[in-house]
Amino acid sequence: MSASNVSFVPFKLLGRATYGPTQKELEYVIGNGWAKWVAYQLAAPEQEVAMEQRLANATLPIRFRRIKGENAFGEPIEGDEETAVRKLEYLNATTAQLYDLIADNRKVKLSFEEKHRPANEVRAATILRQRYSEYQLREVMAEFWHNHFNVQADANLNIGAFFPLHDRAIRKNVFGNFRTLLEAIAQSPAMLYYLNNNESKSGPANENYARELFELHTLGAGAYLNAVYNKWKQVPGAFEEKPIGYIDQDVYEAARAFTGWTVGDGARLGHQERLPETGDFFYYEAWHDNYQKRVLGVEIEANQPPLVDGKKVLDLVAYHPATAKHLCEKLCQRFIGDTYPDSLVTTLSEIWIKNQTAPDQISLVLSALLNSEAYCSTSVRKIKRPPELIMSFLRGIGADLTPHQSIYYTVIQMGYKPFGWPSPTGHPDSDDYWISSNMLLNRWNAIIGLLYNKEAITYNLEKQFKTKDKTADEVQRACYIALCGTEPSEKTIAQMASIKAGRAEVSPDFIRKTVGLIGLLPEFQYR
Amino acid sequence: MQRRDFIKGTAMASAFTMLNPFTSVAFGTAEDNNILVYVFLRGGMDGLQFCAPVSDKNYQTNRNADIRIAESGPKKGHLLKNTLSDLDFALHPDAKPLFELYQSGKLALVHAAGLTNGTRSHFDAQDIIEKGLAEKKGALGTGWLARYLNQQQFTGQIPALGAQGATPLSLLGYPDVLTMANSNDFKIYGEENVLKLLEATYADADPLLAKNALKTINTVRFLQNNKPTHNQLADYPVVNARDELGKGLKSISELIKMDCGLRVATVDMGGWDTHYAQPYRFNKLIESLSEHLQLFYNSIPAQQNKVTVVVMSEFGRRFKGNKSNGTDHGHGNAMMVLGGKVNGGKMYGTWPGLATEQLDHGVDLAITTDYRTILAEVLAKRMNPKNLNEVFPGVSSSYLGVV
Repeated sequence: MSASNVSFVPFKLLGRATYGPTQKELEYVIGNGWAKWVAYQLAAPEQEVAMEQRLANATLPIRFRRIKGENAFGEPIEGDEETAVRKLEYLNATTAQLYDLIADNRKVKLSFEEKHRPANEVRAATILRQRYSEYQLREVMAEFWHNHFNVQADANLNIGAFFPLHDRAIRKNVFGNFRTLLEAIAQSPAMLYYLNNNESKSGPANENYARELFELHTLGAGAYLNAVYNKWKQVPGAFEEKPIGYIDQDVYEAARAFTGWTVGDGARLGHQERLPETGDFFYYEAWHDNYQKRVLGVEIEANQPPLVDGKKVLDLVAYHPATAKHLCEKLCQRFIGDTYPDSLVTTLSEIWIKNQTAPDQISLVLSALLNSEAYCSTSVRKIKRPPELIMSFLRGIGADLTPHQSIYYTVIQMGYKPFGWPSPTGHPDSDDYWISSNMLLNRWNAIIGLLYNKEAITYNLEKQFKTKDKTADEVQRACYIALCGTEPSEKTIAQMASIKAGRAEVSPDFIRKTVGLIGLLPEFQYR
Repeated sequence: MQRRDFIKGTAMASAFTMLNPFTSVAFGTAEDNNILVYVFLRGGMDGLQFCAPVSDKNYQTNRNADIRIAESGPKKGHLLKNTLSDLDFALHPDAKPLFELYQSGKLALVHAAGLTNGTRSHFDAQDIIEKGLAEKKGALGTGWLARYLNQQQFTGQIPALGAQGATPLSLLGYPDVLTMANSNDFKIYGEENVLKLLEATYADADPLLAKNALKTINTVRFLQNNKPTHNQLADYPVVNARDELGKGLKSISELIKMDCGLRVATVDMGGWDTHYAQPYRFNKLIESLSEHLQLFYNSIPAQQNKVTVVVMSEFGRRFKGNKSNGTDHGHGNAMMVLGGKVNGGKMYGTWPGLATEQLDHGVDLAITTDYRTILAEVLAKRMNPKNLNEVFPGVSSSYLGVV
C-alpha cells in the first residue's frame, strides 16, 4: 500500500474538522489515531503562544482619510486618501479603547475606515488563524458560532468598532456551555445593534432579536407553530410548562423581557440625558416593560429585579429540547454533510441535554460527533465553502499568507461574506447553494487568481513538492496527493496531461499551473 | 449632482420611449415566446408605507408621520386612480417612476395579498412562497418556477436565469438553470486548455456539480461570441447597475435582447427588514426599486409586450410602528405586476380595512388575495403552462384580470 493510500482515511477525517489537512496533521493522526487528535484539539489551551506571536507581528494595510474639521452644516471635511500598513491593534483592546473610536465627544474625529478598523482586524486575524493555528477545530467551531450567531459587521459603524468583543465572546465559549454562550451573545454590543435590541423600549417593543433568538439561535424554525396555533394555551404541553414549540405570542412576550437591554454608547435620551459612555452592555430600567409575561407556558411575575426576566427567557429557550435537536442537526450538517442519520441527532441531543449546565457541554457533544460512525465514514461528501476552499488550497501547497484586503474580496466574490452576511441566518450550509453556475465560475477564478496575488500570497512550490529530481508526471502526482489526499486515477492523469503539452521540463510556471488546475478539479471542491 | 442629472436624463429617455415606434411593434408576440421576470424583495417590504389609503383615520392615527404616506404637504404621496373601495390610495412620494408606470397603464397593484399561512418568519415565508405553496407541510421540495420550467420543453441556450449569486429556491429543481449575477463579468480567467480540462473533468462529477459546471462553461463561451442587439437609448445605464438589483436587471435586459431563448428570470433586492430607523432606509429603498424597475422596462422597448414582471415580498409589516421608529414582521402586502400586456393603472384585490377588528390577529393587514392567484394568472395567461395545477396545487382559477 502506498503512502498516499495509508493517509486517505486521515485526510478525509481531517478534511471536515480543519481548514485542510497538512502533512503534520496527517502524521499525527496516522501515528496516534483519530480519537487522540480529537481529544487534543478539544483540550486546546486558551492562549496559543505561537499564534498570538504571529498575530502580534501581523500587519494589515489601511486606506483612510483624516478629518480636518467641520463644514457649516457640522459635516466632517475629509483630507486626501492616505495609506498605511498597521499592526492589528484592536484584537485585545479594552471596551473603552473600542468605544473611543466612535465616541461623540472625541477631540479628533475619525473617518469610516478608522472606526471600522477593528472589524477588519478580526477578519485579518481570522484568516491567519485558519491558515496557521495548530488548533484547527477551534477555528472551525469559531466560524460555526459566528454563522449561528450571525452579525453583519458592516451594518453600522458601532458594530464594526465593537466587533472584537463579539469575536472574543464566541472564542471564549466555542467548546463551552451553550447557555453561557447564549447570554454572552445576548449582551454583545454587536448583536444588540445588529438585531436592534439596543433600541427596544416598552410599548411596542422591537421584536427583531426576540424572534431570531427563537427561530435561529435556539428552538429553530422547525418548532415555530404559529400557523397551527393562535394562543399559547393551545400548544400541546403548554399547561405543563413544556410546550412542544413556540408561536408569535412567545416572541411578543420575550421581546418585552428584553426591553432596556442596550449598549452604553452615550445615546441621547432627551432632557440633556444620555446613556453612559462605556461601550459595555447596559440595562436601562426606564425602557423596560416590567409587567408580567408568559413565555413557553411559564409565567414570569411582574416587577422582577433587573435582567431577571430576560435571563429567565434565555434559560427557557436554551434548555428547550427543540434547541438541542436544532443545534445537533446543524452540527451534523456542518461536520458530516447535508444528510446524516437521525439516530445520531438523537444521541447527540441526549448528551446536549444531559450536560446542559456543564462547562464543557459543547465539547462533549463534539467529541461524540467526531468519533461517531457516521463522521468516520469516508463516503460522506461535503462541498467546501469559500474559506475552506481557499485555506485548504494554501495549506495544501504550503503557501504563506499576509493579511490583505484582496483576500477578503476574493472570498466575497465567491459568495461568502466574512462577518458580513446581511441576513441573521448566517451563511447557508447546503451543498446546492455553493455550486450554482455563478459560484463555480467565481471559485475557479479565485483559485487561479490566488496564485498571482503577490500582495497576500507567497509560496515555493519547488521546495514544497521537492520537484528538483522529479519528472513532470511525478510532480503532478505529488501535487494531486497533497491537495486531494489520494492517488490520481488513470483518467485524471490522462486529463492532466493536456497541461503538460510542450513542457518537457519542470518549470516554475508548469508547477504553478499544475497546482492551479488541481485546485479547479471537482474532487478538490469536497472536504 | 451627477446622479441627479442622470435621473433627469433617463426621464427624458423614457418620454422618448413612449413615442418610440419600437414600443408598439414587437418582434415576436407569440404566446410561447413570452418572458416572466420575478423580483423578490427580501426582508418584508412595508406595503403600508409603499401604497396606502392616506385619508383613512385608522391609518393616520396608528402610524406616526415618519412611516406613513402623507396626505398633503411637500412630501405627499402620489394619489392613484382606480383604487380599492374608492379610498384615496397613494404611492410613496419617492416612488414617482412607479407612479408614472401606473398612470401609463403598464403597472398594476394588488393589495392585501400574500401568503395566507400565519408565519411571521422571513425564512419560513420565503421558503413556502418560493415553493409556490400555501403552507409549510407538503412534499414539494422544488421551486414553483422550476416546476413550470420542467413542464415546458424550452430548447434555447439560456431558458432560465437566476440573476444573482446563488440559485433562488423558486428555480431549485430545474436542471438547466443559469445563475449569473452579472452578464458583463461572466468570464473564466484562464486559457482555452483550462476550459477544456474543466469540461472533461466535470463531466464525470456528481450530477448537480456536472450540470452546473457545463452550464457555466457553455455560457462563458456563448457570451464570448454573442452580444446584445443594442439600442442606444434603451440601454440599461451602467451607472445605475451597481447594486444587486441593478446588475441583475441589467443582465436580464441584455439576455432578453440576445437570441438565447430566455423565458424566466429572477432577481432579488434585500434590505427591507426595517425594524428600526425605517423612514430613512425605506425612502432610499423604494426610490431605488422604482428607478430600477422603470429603467429596466424602458431598456427593452421592443420586448415590453412579451415581458411580465411580478414583484413581491415574503410579508408586509406590522400596522403599528414600534418604539424604535421601525415596524416588525406583519402579514398582508402589496404586489406589483408590470408589463406591456398588463391591465395596469388599476388596483386589484379586496381591501380588508385597517380597523383593529379588520386586522389579522388584531395587528396586521389581513390577506384577501392568495399570492398564488396572481402568479397563477400570469402563468396561465402569459406563459402557456402545460399543467398549472402541478405548479400551484389546488390554486383557485378565479383570476382578478391583472393581465
